[in-house]
Amino acid sequence: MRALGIAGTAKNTGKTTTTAALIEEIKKNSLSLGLTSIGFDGEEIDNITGLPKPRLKVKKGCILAVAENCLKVSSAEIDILENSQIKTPLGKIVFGKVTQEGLVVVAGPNKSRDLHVALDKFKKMKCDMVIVDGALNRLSPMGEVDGLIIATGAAKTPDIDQLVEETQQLVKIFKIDQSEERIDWPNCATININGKKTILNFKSLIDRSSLEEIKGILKKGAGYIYIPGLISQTYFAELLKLENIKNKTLVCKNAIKFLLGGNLHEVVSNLKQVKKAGLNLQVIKKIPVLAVTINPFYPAYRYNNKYSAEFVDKKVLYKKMVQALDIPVYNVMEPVHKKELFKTVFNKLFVCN
Amino acid sequence: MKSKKHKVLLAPLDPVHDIGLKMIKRALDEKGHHTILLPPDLPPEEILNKIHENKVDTVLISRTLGYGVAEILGKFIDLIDASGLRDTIKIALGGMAVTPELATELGFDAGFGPGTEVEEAVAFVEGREYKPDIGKFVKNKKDITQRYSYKYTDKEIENLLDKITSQILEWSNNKTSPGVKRAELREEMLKTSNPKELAKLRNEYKELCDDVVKNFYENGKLHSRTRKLTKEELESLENYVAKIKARMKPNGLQHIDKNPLVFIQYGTGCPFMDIAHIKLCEAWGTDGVVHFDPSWGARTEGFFEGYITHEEDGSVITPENLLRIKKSINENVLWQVRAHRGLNTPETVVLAGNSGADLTKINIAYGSLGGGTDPERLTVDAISAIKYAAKYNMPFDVVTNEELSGVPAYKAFSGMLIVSHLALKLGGKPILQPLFCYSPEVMINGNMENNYIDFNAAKIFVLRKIIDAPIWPGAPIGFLTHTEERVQSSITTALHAGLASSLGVDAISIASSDEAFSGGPIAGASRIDTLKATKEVFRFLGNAKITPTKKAEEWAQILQENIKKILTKVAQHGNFVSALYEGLLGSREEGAYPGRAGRNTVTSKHSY
Amino acid sequence: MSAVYKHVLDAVDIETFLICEDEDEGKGLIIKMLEDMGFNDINVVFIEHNGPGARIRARGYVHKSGDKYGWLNTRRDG
Repeated sequence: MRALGIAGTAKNTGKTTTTAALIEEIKKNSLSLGLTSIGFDGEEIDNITGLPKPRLKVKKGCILAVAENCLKVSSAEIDILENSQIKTPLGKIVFGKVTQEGLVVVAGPNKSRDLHVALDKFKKMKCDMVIVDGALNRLSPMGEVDGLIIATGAAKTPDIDQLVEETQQLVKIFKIDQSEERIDWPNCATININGKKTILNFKSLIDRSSLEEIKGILKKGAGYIYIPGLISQTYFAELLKLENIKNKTLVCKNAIKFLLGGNLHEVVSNLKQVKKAGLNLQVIKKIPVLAVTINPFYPAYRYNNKYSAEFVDKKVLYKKMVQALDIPVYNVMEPVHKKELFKTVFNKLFVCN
Repeated sequence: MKSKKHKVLLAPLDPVHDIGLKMIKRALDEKGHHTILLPPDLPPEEILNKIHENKVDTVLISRTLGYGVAEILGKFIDLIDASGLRDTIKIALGGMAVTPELATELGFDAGFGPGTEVEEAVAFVEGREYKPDIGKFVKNKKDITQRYSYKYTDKEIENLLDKITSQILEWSNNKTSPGVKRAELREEMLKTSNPKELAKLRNEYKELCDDVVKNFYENGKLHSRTRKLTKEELESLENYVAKIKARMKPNGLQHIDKNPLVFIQYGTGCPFMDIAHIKLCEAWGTDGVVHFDPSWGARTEGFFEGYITHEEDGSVITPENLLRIKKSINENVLWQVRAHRGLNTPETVVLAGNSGADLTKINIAYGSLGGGTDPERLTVDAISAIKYAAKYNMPFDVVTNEELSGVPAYKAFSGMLIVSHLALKLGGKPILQPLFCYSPEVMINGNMENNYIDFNAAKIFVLRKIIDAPIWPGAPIGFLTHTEERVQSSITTALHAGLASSLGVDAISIASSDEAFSGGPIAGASRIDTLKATKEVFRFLGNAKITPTKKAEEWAQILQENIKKILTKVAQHGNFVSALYEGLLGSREEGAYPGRAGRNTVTSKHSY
Repeated sequence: MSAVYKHVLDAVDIETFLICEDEDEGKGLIIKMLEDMGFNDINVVFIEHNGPGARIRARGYVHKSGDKYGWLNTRRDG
């Protein structure tokens, strides 16, 4: 089984449109599909802007992991296969099989740990592919998937050049090298030259005392640092300035833990310093970005909390994005692109691996 | 077992709005939880650090939503998730426009929007399921007679009432009426399931009815302006009520325990519209509802049967109509079916009792002086009705609406006290119902020239000086102070409610803001006006009181002396019924006319 | 009348302030207004004229007691 995450850079960047396009193609290719979301998607009207949003149409045989309350408002017929203890504000997550196609609202597990549990269940239910629809700009639970599609668009910023640059940087962050090691320690740890492991009592590098502790251990000669949690870019920048950082190895769980530790600008500028400092930065799990989808739509604020639908030039956006990225770019509103997107995803997830 | 104490971080992400969080903090502190309220508008990274440093188990965030805010909150949750803290803490979001759907989308465990009770957030922290009707507000049916001893403080009045009621009971000993007989038949009809027996009883019943009702039982003809409800209508009503019940959240009007129960009166003519009014009043917090029957119903011997609707004020009493209404009323809402004034008084109590009514309404003096029923007839009928009320365990109020025709309060009170004492002798539980009104008496005497408070207060003071009994001003409070302008109308109702509460009475009946509008039926929306206004006054006053001037005490004194004088006269007169005819409890000059309906229908028991 | 009116429990009240010479003119205007809106059972619930015009509340009944009520069978699509 392969889990594909659809991560957005903001609300209204086309996550659900991308998901919908894939569902169609997956059915055509006779793969058994599992579907869930780390948030809430498929509502008729956007929660915040009040503009219409696509609802997901699911086909017969698709397995869903959704909150109980979603079943009440879905028009598809769904047989419940299994109840779970995963809680959400919309009720506990249930696993169900679509017996008659229709529209669904998908609100699934919204924490990393819960998504992990859900993906295990999907595996046992013999799904070939699971789509994890994103929520807003949220990324953290996507650490659980095997590949990502980044859905971006004018809703993030209608400034095309800025959007292209930000996307380019984002994709780059996901390219941090994968470590040879397959470790899964719950807390931070360091290993010295003699191979002696020291387990620390924190998970993340998010406060000064943790930073000082790591500095101290580095001084004592540790060559390998593992941080399973969040890495604050402020403290990471300080680590990079240490004289003895050269030739050391810093391993994080995945690129998302690194990315979330600061704003994009900080992350990019720190990444540039990594080579200069001679630090060997790695991730335990590399989450490949398989494709980028773009959406020219953006909601423009009018007055009194009302928004109007606006669009940037889709051709310009597409052209500039393709030029800047070394991975495929699709506008999923175009029928041809839908097919291409599926092919790319399928090849990268199943064939290349 | 001691419940677990939680460590809670409260973080307002808004620049200013942290009032909600402060209220929640106070509630959590009171329950012994450890709370940390952060200053407003800290960056997400700093809040993350605070969570980490303080090792809290619950985080409450408040933030008003706007464009781009969702992304900030999403990023915040991501930080917590990525740091590994998400697995060990619960986190909720509160603020304008927050919904459970949005909370799910953002990755929170719960979302609290506008109108969230503090208790809801406390339940979240404590990991309990929040039940809206538990903790803060429980709507319980209250027996307002329960805490009263019915002991007289004024022994002189007690002795006079003893004497008068003995005379009444002795007088009535051997008397009966078609109304009494029909009630007996109706009770038997309700008990039997044998169709033959039922037909026989019904045959006997119709012979005791006026032609219009008899015609219905013989030929199926209804009163003009009434019609039978169709099967489709009844089915759709059932669906309608079921749907409403499913989406109704109980509401309360009271701010403190001492606030009186609030009743509304319905009687649109149509049981469906009645139910619609009942349901919306329940939704907006009424404690009880009072069934009004049409005035022709009170002047006609006998009841129809079946589901019948009517186009004028007042809803037709039939066994089926009452049961249908009862089925639709929330189980925690009190239901009163008034029986006080007509030719069907005892049967109304039988039907009310059998339909599960909680309360009824009986008064001989008002019913015969202001309600159009012959005094002799109503006295005989009311005694029977009171016995049924006792049998079915229904307390009843004794109204004094004859005041509205011009009878002075002390005379109306004398009649009320006589009927109440009669009730006590017959095992009933009477509730005193003085009017809070701008009556002809006070208009003439100028008792309300300065304020509406003193004279109404005097009424309560005097009743308290006489007997320890429940008091339920009505009906509706502020009678004749309302105008067609709805703000004025709602305010006068609410202020009278505030006065009633301040005087510590047990219940009140309130009008809609359409009270003074006579051009058409009362609109449902106008009921919400006065329910909301009443709630607001309860909120405004709390335990504070409205202080009457010295006049109130003075007038209470005068009322008490005058009541004694009237009761002495009635006792000396020796016959209550003839005292009614002769105007001792309200004269023709005062606007009280002994009713004619049912005259000469009282017979000796042996003639049946 | 539009189908949305079947959702009205009983009546629609229009509250406004009309610039007019006197109460009679105000009444005439508000009744015309409600007639134009399609109501035929119209009442002026309250009117008070002073200076610039009249504070008015007028009511158009949609469902009266004993009618067949549209809301007994409403669905969301209304």
